[in-house]
Amino acid sequence: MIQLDQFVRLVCAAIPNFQAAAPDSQQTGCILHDSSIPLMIVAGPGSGKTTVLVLRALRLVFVDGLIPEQIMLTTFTNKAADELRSRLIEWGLLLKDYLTSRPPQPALPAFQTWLDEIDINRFLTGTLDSICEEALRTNRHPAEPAPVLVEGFVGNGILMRRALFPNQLHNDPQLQQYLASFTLDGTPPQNFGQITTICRTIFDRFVYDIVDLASFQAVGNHQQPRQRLVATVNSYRQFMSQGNRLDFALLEEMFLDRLRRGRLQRFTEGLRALLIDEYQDTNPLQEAIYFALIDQTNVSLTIVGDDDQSLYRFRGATVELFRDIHQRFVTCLPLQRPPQSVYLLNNYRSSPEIVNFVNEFVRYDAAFQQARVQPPKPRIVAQKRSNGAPVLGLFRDDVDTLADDLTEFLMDVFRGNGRPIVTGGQQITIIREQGGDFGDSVLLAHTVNEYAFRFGNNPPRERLPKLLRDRLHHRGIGVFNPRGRSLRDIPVVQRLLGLILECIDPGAQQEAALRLRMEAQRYFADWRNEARTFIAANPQPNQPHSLNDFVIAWQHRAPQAIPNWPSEWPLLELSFKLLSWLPSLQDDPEGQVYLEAVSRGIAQAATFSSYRSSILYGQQPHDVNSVRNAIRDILEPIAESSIDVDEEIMPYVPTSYFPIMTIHQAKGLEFPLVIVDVASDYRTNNARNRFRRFPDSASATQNMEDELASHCQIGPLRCARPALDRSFDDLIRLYYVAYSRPESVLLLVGVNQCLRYGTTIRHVATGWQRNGSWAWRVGVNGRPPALTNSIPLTLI
Amino acid sequence: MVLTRKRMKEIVPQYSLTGDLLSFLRCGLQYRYHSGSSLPPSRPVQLWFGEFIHGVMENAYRIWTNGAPPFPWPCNPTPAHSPVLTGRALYDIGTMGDTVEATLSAEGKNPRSFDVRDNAYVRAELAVNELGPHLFPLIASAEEKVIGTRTIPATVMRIPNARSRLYELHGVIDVLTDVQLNGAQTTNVIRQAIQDSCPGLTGRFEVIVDYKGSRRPSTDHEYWRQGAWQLQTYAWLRMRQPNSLPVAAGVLLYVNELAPVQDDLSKLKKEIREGRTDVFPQRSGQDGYQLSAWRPGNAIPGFSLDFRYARAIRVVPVNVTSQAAATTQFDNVVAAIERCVLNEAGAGRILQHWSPTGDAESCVACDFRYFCPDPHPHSGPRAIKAPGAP
Repeated sequence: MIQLDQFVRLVCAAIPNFQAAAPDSQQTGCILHDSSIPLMIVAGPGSGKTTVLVLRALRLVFVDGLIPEQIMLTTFTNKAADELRSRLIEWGLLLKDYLTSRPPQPALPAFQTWLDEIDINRFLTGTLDSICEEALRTNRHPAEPAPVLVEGFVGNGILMRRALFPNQLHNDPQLQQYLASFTLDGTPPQNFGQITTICRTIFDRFVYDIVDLASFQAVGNHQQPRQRLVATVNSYRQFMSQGNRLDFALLEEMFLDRLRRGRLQRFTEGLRALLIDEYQDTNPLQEAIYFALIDQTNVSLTIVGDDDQSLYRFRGATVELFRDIHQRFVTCLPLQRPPQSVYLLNNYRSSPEIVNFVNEFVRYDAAFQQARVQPPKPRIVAQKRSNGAPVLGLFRDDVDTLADDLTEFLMDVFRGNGRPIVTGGQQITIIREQGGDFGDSVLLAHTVNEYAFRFGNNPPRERLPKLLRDRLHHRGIGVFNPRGRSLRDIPVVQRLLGLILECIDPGAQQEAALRLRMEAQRYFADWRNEARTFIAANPQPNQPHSLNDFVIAWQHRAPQAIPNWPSEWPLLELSFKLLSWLPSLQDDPEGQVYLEAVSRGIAQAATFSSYRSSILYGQQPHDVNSVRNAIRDILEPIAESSIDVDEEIMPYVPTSYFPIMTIHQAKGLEFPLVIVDVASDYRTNNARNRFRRFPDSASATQNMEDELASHCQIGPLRCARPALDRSFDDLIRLYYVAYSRPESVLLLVGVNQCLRYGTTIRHVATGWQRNGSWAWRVGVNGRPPALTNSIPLTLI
Repeated sequence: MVLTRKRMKEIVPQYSLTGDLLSFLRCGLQYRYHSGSSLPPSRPVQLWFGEFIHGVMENAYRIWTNGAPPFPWPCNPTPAHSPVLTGRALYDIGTMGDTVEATLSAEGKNPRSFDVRDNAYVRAELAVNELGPHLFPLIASAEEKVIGTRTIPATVMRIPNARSRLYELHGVIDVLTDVQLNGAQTTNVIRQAIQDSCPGLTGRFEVIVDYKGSRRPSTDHEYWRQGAWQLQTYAWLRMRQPNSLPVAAGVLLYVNELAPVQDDLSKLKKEIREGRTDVFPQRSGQDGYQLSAWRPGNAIPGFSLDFRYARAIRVVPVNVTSQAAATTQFDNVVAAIERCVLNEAGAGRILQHWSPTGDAESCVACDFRYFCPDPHPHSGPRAIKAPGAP
């Protein structure tokens, strides 16, 4: 093995990445920290936490003599897990190769034998869910079936079919009244889709928060609806259990249960080290899993996180578990030593101007400081040299002008001679590096929907992402914004779904018999219209027959290709045939993202829908029922936005595309130029959008936390701060993440009403504090200026 | 001020030997859609069948290791569209089949027809009762995950923006060791087959085993060659693991050969005529007469167990040279995939960068055949025609 004090030297010698820049003293301290003492790393943005985590894991192998299969590393997303694993393999192999060619002297035969036994591929890496699933799959009793993990859409389909309907939840005014505090606007849910969404959140919370259901239904003001909810969740769990199905919450619950009952001994007996990334987004159930593992195995523990970057409260993440980790250890693991805290403050990502802006931003709101790890993380320290670019602001009177000017800015930078900026009396020009392209930038926003919410039959308002898409498209630049439009709104998807509807249900006869909800009816009509217009254009290929002929043949079940119409035809095969007329779904990588979502919907519906996503022929009533099932179980969920796209199936976005993403999506990413849309929607102080900028009441997520607080152990800790304060805290964290993404340039954009001295549009992102004071405004004597007078941005 | 360029995060891609590399070899374009875009097959018949057989064999082995009565085990499948039969033993192949079917069904995988399901149970019963007694006592480690890292050939590294210089390869195998093999009865057909193919094996060694839910391919078919590469590469992966022994051979078990169907026999006769198979019955023996007399439409002859074993069991000797040759083949496959990925990313188009290379059988059943620019026999780009309903 290697001596501890030689490890960093070895890393620098063996791994080219560290030859120019060795780990700094903070990073080195974390890597070499005593492995027998739990370590908590509070890692600021861009501080190299992945590097530290990977090198610490490798140190446990090369210095402490653990073998990789004894070391478990978890992180929050599959993407992050892939990165962690890649670095472990790459750097691990480099270390191994280096030691093979240059063994410590005197060279002993045992050293090479030891080295040979290190299999770098055997680190246990992944999200906690993926590791739980694998452990449950591997550690089964004989004849015990492997668990089947169901995703959101199928889980919701089962929830709806097997639990909500049988328990009459669609028809219960008292329940709907109870659910009102968990909707976006505080009114009872408008349709069954909304009821399903809220119930899904509540049921997941029951599991993640380890809620005592007996207590939940026994006390409180809403006993009847609470009892209905508990009865319904029991129906759901029973159905899932019969088919050996697990959703993500039930997967973690089963893992914990088997862990506690000693059924995962084969899994735990070899475990010697546990390294947990993104701990700030851990939920109480996951904490219980980690604590059980620590308790049972005495592992060497390292946790990494940043309370200021906790973004997933709506999924049950509980930042207080990270903030109060020492107290949690004292309470839950009294025999274990609590972790020692170490800060990683050096920022290797952003320019000093950006780092300074981020440091100021996170300190504007005095009330937020109490929500942070105590004592709060010191200011992060820029390690890059200044590039001369200040933090920029581009604000215009209206969103159309904003889109025009932002497009011009982007074109200047990525296609022109650069954009000159005057700062401090000097001019700098922002321009791409040679070979650079639009993919070096990103637009981040709280929401990236291209259309605002649609009221009635009025066309929805186009938002900044849509306006930018159109303008850039006009200039020949593509935009990658797969979450910007619901699947149901994408023209080529509408065409495909409309064609399917026209084929299987001519004249909408079965659709009419189903009494669909308004939203679905409206979308079905749109899709059919889109399809009819498309058919009328007689698209290629139109030999030996046209698309119209094909659709009519389907409508009459009159075969064109074989002698007799088959008794059963998979809907998936119909949709693949229709691709012949939809080239963008064959050839465009972004089209594949949409096609995958539709296909997934069809394939997954087969797991719970009676006719397994097939259309039957020649056996009434099954012919009609199979069509109705397809409409109800596949097309209606798409019309109600229950199926999301998964953009991760696209390994690369072409660098010539301009990416637009939510701030949540951008977590863990970095871009040379980051544009943050802080205010393109806010022309007035509209009460409907306050929750996104300056809430005047707690959000649905916080309300739910309060509702469950007295029935779960985590309740008192989580709700120690009032719900409204937690809403403000989360908004600050959100924009902290957004502002800390850029490497070279940060540009805030919006309409300029929010920058007026006397504006009523308060927004956390523009420096407002919850007590009503505004860091970007300084009091003046006399007539107030038009524009606020302490803006930390260079306006362009 | 010059903007920096966004750095691509170097991600070591993970490849499954069967799910990725063999699929890509089957057809590049189909692989792009099924694996790259995760588009599910519209009729996952082969997928269901292969996973059903694997699932039953895995369950049977688990039950066998926990103590079960001697073979043969009963097989009472639950009739289609009926409630699950009760009162059957845990080791009843019908009971195991229910468990596997339920799991597959929850994943959206179902048999295409009652015939497919019935046939699967027939083959599963034979696999358990005819292979199980020989195979199970030899297994030292079941469902062993093997993983290894290899370097992507330099052809890809020269392309700017290559996502990694390394790739990770993984698979799942059953492992036999010399201890079990030498301790097995001399009548054990797998032991005999290994000894016949690898005479003179001594010392400590391992043998790896994989099932195929298919017939034994002809010796000139690419699946024959790929099957051998697969075993060699599994052997390479296995030998990366600490505490493993040298791998002396690999065994492929072609489960369909235990219960051949009409199409299998037609193909076998043709292959024998054309000298394209390595296992065929003696003309003078009972099996030879049966096969010779057989015509499509006749009942399937009751071939001897020895003949069916000989068809089902294929042993591939493993040595350093053969391993190196096979792994190089797969390195080149990975390089080809990576090149397609990069070319697609650069151009933002799919069809021109992923070649359709399927054989006639694959193309006939392919979900994307209607708009495939160059299906079998790959005679060049064609004008796409409108498909017919349904």
